[in-house]
Amino acid sequence: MPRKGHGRRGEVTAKEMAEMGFCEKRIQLAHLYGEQVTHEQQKDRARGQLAHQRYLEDGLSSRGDRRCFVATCVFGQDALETQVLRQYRDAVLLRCRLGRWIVGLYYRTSPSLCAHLVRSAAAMDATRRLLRVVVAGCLLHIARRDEQ
Amino acid sequence: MTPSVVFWVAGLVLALLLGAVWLFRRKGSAERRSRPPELARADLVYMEETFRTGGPLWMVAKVDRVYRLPDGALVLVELKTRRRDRPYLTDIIQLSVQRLAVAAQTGASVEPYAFVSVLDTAGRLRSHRVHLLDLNEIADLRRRRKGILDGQLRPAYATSEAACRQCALRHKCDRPRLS
Repeated sequence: MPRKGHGRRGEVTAKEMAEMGFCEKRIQLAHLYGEQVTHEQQKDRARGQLAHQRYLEDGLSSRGDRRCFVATCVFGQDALETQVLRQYRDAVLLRCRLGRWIVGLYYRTSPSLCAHLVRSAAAMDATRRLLRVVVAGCLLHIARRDEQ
Repeated sequence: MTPSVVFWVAGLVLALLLGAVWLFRRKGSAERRSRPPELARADLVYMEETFRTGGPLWMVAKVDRVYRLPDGALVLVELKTRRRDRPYLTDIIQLSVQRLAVAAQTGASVEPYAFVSVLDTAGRLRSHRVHLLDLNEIADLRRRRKGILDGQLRPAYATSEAACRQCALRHKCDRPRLS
């Protein structure tokens, strides 16, 4: 059975593209006759999947422990405010030298700031109120940029 | 026992505890130990996430890990399990497509190099720095792939015949001198 693309609108996956670096003839044959794997390859794939699962779990536990970003600490990982600040960081700050310097400084100082915040409910509340003003400013800036 | 002795013993215990915490943090998590040394100060920002290039390339890539360097640039890391501790051209192409997709979707600057972390059968993890292909090279490869699938271009065979011995499609292959 001919192989179809895995992505939307006939998108090609990075893995399918990577096969071009191994054997182009194999890509053609897999397209004509369907993907086939040996028993040995199946075992290798299972080992790879297990290793990837462990690799992901290591990453998740590491990220969960850090709690070093103030917005994540105050609003939560998936809160709208956190997403706006992330968008502002990626779309505005990281695109200029001064912005990258500010982001770097923030990453270095935020873990200790977060450690103080989690110990004081009043400080957490005050930071939340302050950050909401910052988020509103960021939203306004992003909206103006999109209009231009 | 005088109060000053109690004070000094308590201070010593506290110092030992702080030392233990410092040693534990220094040793770090499994994630920290698995990082290439060049990413020691970077932040892990994406894991197992899918990114898309959009048109005209229409490619999609799932990243293993993406780190953000202190200057804001992103660096890709791909995990591979294999017997030979070395990166291959297939890794470079895969990471190059990931780079284009992450850059297109996030608008962030992605470094033109990446790391292939190879986990061998003994459980040792070693990272190799690789230089990635640029947009034009990937676009050419994308066009070539389409040409091969459409039957307009003649496909090349694997550079090593040893690779063919492990191919499940070798019985359908017309490669000359294939035993």
